[in-house]
Amino acid sequence: MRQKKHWLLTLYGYLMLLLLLLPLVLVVVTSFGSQAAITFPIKGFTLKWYANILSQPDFVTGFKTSFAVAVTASFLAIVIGTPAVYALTRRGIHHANWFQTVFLSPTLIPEIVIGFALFQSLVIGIKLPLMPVLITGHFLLSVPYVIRMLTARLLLFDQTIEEASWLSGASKIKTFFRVVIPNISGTLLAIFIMCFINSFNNIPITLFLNGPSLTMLPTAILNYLQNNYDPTVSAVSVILMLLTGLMMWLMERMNGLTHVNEHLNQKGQK
Amino acid sequence: MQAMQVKHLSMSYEDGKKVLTDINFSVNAGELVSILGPSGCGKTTTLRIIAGLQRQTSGNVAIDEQSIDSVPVFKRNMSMVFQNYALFPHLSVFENVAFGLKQRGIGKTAIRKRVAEILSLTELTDLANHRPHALSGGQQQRVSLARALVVNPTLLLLDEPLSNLDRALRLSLREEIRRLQQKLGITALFVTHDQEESFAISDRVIVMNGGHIEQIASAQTVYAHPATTFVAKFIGFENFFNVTRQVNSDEYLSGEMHLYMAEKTTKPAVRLCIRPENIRFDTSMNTQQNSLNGIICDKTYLGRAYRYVVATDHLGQIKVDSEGATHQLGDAVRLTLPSDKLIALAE
Ligand SMILES: Nc1ncnc2c1ncn2[C@@H]1O[C@H](COP(=O)(O)OP(=O)(O)OP(=O)(O)O)[C@@H](O)[C@H]1O
Ligand SMILES: [Mg+2]
Repeated sequence: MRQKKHWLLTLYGYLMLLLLLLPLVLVVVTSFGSQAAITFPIKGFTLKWYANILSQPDFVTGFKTSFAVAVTASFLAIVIGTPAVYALTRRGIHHANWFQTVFLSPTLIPEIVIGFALFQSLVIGIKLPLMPVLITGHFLLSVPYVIRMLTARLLLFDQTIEEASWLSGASKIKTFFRVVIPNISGTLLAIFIMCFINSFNNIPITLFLNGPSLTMLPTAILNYLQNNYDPTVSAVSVILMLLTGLMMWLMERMNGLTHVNEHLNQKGQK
Repeated sequence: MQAMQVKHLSMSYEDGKKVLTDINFSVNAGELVSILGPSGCGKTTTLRIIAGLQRQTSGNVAIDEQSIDSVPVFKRNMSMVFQNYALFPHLSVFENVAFGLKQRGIGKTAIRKRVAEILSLTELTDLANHRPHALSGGQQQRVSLARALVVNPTLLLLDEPLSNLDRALRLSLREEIRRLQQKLGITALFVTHDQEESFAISDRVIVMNGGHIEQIASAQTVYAHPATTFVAKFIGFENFFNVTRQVNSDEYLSGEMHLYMAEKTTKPAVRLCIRPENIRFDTSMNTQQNSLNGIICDKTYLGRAYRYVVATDHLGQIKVDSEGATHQLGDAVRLTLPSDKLIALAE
């Protein structure tokens, strides 16, 4: 009986995995097809669609802009979010829960609404250029990740270590930079990668905030698809998948490392 | 010379609970004073207020007669050894110890020299390049001690530094703390809930209970002359007899029983007490001072002795520790409470 249940569960697991992976596999396979339209199964094998990416200026500049926006927004989210989380997780802040909710609120509002709201108020309303508004949108997207992941990490960080630093003569600000930051740097890097991936792949907010003068990669792909149905899009997708995978792997390593450290710290404190 | 004084210190947390009430004591230069008390009596709170990690509700802390209430924690030049070591995980042993000197703007060569000195004093030289997580608990606490001593603090605060270690390590590190404190002439305040530890290490003991001080005295005095019933119970007195009437300055009546003291008491006593190991079984049945009859109603082996519980005719149940295994349950026995071992308690 138990054996059978186990067997069913396993099958179910594999089915789900297949369902998740099948589209990705199709994308990878079709990116090598030599026909001018995306078909499956493919006929022939070619790398020309990968080469074609580079001949599409929208893809190239889109990649560059998306990259720049993602890096800037993630960086800002960490620089602004970290002190906020630090203050929230340390004693002496009134209404800490309330602040926590405010910082997390962007996750509760549909992204498309955020995009529209920013467009209406900042671009139409006070006529700000697109770029800063776009970065603001992606920043808002990233802040909740910083709050959530960093709160968990800082709650784990033993406060008596900070107290030891104060007693050693380091002011609270010095302690933050010389003791707290070095100990959470792994987590910060992991958060940065997480925010980057999320921002780089974002469509809902980006859709409202790009224009002829500003091409982002996800919207460039959408535009391209409206006029062409060739495997270039598959090839771009494969590149993005690889990039995302690489970063996830990096992040896992970072997180893995911080967990090891954490574990060792706690062992030491027992 | 009084290096540190605490005057009329009181503390309530935000929930309104009063955890310290009018705490007064001082620590002399070069002295090691310990605060002894049960869990939750306010030891840590007292220490944290002195360190500047917490703010008192009223009263003040002074160093050399100067109030330091407005001095922030990082300028107090105090050191603290925490129960959980609290080493900097990202720094090596050397860097952990050097941290405080760096903050004081001391030059690199001077730092290297001073850290090397302290590391050799604490026998950590071989571990200088290790990270804290690669050390045992005892080694980590030695690093923490080295980090605390290296800055030559005005006051060294230790909050149950040994309670995470096993017994053998606790004993040896205790000796080491005492040795270093005396060698370097450091003024120290040591918090513990372990009576033996407190007696072994300190010049004077402060016994705390429920946020107030019960007694401040040398270990010998606390041991032999506990000031209050709480102190007596905390340090191993287990037999208490309420005083019904004082007959003389050295004779009391507890119920029907006359109890004679070797010394005259100065203050009126409410209670007399005696340790289980100080009560004798009498073989002869002749009547003498402080003797009474009873029946053994319980017997337990404690290792160092047998614990007998004797139901007596005049003083209720009395606990007696005796090395002999001779008495059995139900035996009729005669006990003597030596007059020089009876202590009178004023409260
Ligand atoms: N942040 C706080 N808020 C409210 N009450 C507190 C807080 N910290 C401590 N207390 C209370 O203050 C009292 C004294 O605590 P303290 O930590 O000083 O005791 P302690 O003597 O060090 O005990 P232990 O031996 O268990 O460490 C306790 O009753 C505790 O519940
Ligand atoms: Mg405590």
